[in-house]
Amino acid sequence: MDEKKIRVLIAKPGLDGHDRGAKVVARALRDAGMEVIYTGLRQTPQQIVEAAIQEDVDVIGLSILSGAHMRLCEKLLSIMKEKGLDIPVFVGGIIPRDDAEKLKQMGITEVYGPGTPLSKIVEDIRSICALKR
Amino acid sequence: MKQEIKELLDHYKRGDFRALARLITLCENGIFEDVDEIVEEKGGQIVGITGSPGAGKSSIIDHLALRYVERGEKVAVLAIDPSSPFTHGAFLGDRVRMRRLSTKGVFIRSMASRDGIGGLASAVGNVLRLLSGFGFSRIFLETVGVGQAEVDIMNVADTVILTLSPGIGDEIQLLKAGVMEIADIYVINKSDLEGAGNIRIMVETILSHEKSESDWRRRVVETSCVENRGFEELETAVNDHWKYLKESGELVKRQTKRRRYALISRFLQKIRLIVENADVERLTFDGLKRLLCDDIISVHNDKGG
Ligand SMILES: Nc1nc2c(ncn2[C@@H]2O[C@H](COP(=O)(O)OP(=O)(O)OP(=O)(O)O)[C@@H](O)[C@H]2O)c(=O)[nH]1
Ligand SMILES: [Mg+2]
Repeated sequence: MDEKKIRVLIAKPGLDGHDRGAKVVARALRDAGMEVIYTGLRQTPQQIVEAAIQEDVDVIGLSILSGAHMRLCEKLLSIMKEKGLDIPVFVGGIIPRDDAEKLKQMGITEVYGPGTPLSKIVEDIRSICALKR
Repeated sequence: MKQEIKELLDHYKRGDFRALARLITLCENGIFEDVDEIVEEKGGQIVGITGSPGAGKSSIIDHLALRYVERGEKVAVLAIDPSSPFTHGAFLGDRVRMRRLSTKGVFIRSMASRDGIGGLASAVGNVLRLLSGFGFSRIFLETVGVGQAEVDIMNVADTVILTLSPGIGDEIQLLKAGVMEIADIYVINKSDLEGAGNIRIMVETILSHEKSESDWRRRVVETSCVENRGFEELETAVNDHWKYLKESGELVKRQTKRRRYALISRFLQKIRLIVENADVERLTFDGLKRLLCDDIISVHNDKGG
């Protein structure tokens, strides 16, 4: 029997135009043996939730550089709640410390600033998936 | 049957995407295996799209599927990308090109090939059955056309589209044996670029020298995703082939072939797991055979007992 694979959705909500950071993380997760579903730029929260459902992912990772993280996360979490979707959400990007705290209170699982070691992200995802099983 | 699967099937039958998605995962993980005994195909057309990496398969699905959605059809996409043989991870990026579809209620699922025996994931037969049983009227299956996958796609799809493009070495690809025999429809994509005409000539030349076993006259269609051109013709070709399959009785043959393929790949996967988990270094070939028999007998007893 196949061991259960960790599936991760990497999405880039908002209007900022480059996704290098998101791709670097996606590759690191792939190299750690995970299946990474990459959705590309400019996804609305609605689209991200839809994709998370269809792809049946264990974790959602958002990359946000636009500064609109509060609004986007709030919207995403409220749609998820409405649909009864309980999936941990990680956020990466340039996010002020105060905002990071607020995001976590809002229900975001973890916030990663620039320079976070990729190995930490991999470990965090592994341990939260192990907990859920 | 496991309680979880039973409950999911109830929701699945009521048209719940989430239950469908969960069931697909259970298929992939080898937990839900007897799909063919539980779920009936409902007769949607399974359209396989293969071709070299970057030929434009996902972009074509985006354009083509949209046409069906706009006619009110229920559409699904299953997009397979290879797993890394080293890390077993995968980067599944086909959704990027299908962004328009996701807002239109199309069910899109990305799938890693994992350790499928052929080029396709071993669960693909079961997953297609789940999609068909859900009631989608068109199901698009995208797979990278390398090695065995492009042969396997013939075993699971009703209609096979081979996508070729200028500038990515498809001119050479065409000269290799096997590539041309598989498709019902040939798409020359990126016809906005130089070199598309040459590919068309090559395809038509090869086709004119080949005898086809069926009465279907293979089509060659030029498309451009950037100029949104050729998709009406492509849709017509897909519809005509579907009509041909039904009227000629060929459809039943394809359905049988698909069921056979799903069963065989499921079985081979089982054998492979037993063999790979065995202490191969210490076993002889006969020892391995015995091990396999013991395992199969024990499964048999579990079920029969
Ligand atoms: N000029 C031109 N570019 C195209 C056309 N169709 C697709 N492309 C580009 O070709 C690249 C690959 O397109 P995809 O649709 O991702 O191709 P694919 O065959 O699905 O690729 P893989 O899934 O990676 O094998 C993208 O950069 C597209 O924008 C076209 O008709 N003309
Ligand atoms: Mg693709």
